[in-house]
Amino acid sequence: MVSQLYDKTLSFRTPFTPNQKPHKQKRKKSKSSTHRHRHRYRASMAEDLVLDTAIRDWVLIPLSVVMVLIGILRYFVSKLMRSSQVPDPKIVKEGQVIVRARNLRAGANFISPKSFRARRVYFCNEENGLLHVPKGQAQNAQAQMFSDPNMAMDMMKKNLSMIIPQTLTFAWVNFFFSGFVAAKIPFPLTQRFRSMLQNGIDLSTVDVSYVSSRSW
Amino acid sequence: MVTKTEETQLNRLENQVDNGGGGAWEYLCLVKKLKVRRPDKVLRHGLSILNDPKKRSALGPDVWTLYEQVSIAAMDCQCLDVAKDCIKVLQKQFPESKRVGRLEGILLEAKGLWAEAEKAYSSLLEDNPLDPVLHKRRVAIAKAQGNFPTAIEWLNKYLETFMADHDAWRELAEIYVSLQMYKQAAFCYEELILSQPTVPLYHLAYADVLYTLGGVENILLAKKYYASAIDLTGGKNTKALFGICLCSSAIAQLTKGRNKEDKESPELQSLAAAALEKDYKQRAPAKLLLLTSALKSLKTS
Repeated sequence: MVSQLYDKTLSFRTPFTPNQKPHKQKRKKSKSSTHRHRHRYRASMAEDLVLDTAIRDWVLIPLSVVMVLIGILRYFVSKLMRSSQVPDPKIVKEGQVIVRARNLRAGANFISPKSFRARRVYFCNEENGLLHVPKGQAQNAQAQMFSDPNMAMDMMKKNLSMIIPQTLTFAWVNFFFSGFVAAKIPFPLTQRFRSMLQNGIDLSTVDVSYVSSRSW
Repeated sequence: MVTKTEETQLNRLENQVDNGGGGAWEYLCLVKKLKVRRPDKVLRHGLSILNDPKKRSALGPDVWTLYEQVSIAAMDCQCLDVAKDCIKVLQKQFPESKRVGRLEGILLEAKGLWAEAEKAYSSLLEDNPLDPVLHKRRVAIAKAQGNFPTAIEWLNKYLETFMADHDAWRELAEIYVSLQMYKQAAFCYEELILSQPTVPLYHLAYADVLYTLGGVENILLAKKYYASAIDLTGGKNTKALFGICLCSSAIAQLTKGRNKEDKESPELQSLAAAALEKDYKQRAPAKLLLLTSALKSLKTS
């Protein structure tokens, strides 16, 4: 009998009812009823909850589809917002110098020793060698990143484009899909995850493996 | 450098398209990818596609790259009206574009109006100082005018920034050789060998320059590079074989007065001579007599 009661409370046939209020009232009833029987079915907590297939059809699949679509949307938005970077002559030259130095190292056995030595001096000469960086001047890469205004702007834009869709999705999911169990995680979890994963469910005795849709 | 498979594919497509089969668009794409110079074919087949509105719309957004390719081919064949029409179409579509500006500059060059072309390129370079193609076009103007020192100057300045561009090094080496500045040409060829050590062409050219410079050390070095060229081509390079024979005889002549023993064994020269004779017997038996007499004179001198 207890398990039957449990079945009824958990099978929400139509999650998308236009009228949210009776939905919530139903839940409150179940809550009070479970409180009375709490001591009784603590023992039967181990048994499995039967989740309605309607949950799977109407919640999991749309939610996954929406996640994928938002990922795609984020990609396109980031492509639009990406500002074309004007190549800095110094950076281009440095890149090319590195390629040339690498070629010198790789192909050193193919040219005469005199010319190899001449080129090595050209690159590593103490005073004006191309690759020689005097001790005090080597800049910290991170400091350079923050001092360059363009790059800082780019980073901020990227962060924003990540945060805004996340908050929107969160609010949307919260509005539509709160208050019921959505899925069961196949591996056992500790009690600490309860507040994370079971946000909309106000029953404190439900096994932590059952998660609400917010965690999805 | 075009690999062998790509070359065979290109030839096959060329034959197919020339004989009336389809596949003109694939041929044009392959030509563009490999950067080979086939202006007459590109012009003919490209125009056949562009003049047919059905085929044009079938290409979609690629039609603009086709316009660019055909306009450059037209300028190569000196059909300047065709080129001008293509550029006009591109201009209407992309009004303020860098690439179209470049094409207009090339058109001015093709017409022979060097001063205007130079002005156009300088103004474009002010906006994008790091565009390698614009720099190279400027060098091409100077070279076409016969003004080699200016060309060398521009090219050196370009190479100061873009020093990993092996095409530019090759161009510089050829200009130096044409001006007989062999030491500088040797430096450029060394750069090329460093960046692409498995291309036998550069070894051969470097060996030629070294041999021309003269002096025992250079000729010894040249012999080594001829040998490496033979190694890289699997023994088929006739020029390198001849080079070895010449180097050996030159070394023998230069070290005649010294009492040193022969450092280099004479095996290499005899091997090279034997390989040459075999090659000539196979490919040009009529000239075999000439070859044997020339080799004999080399050995005895």
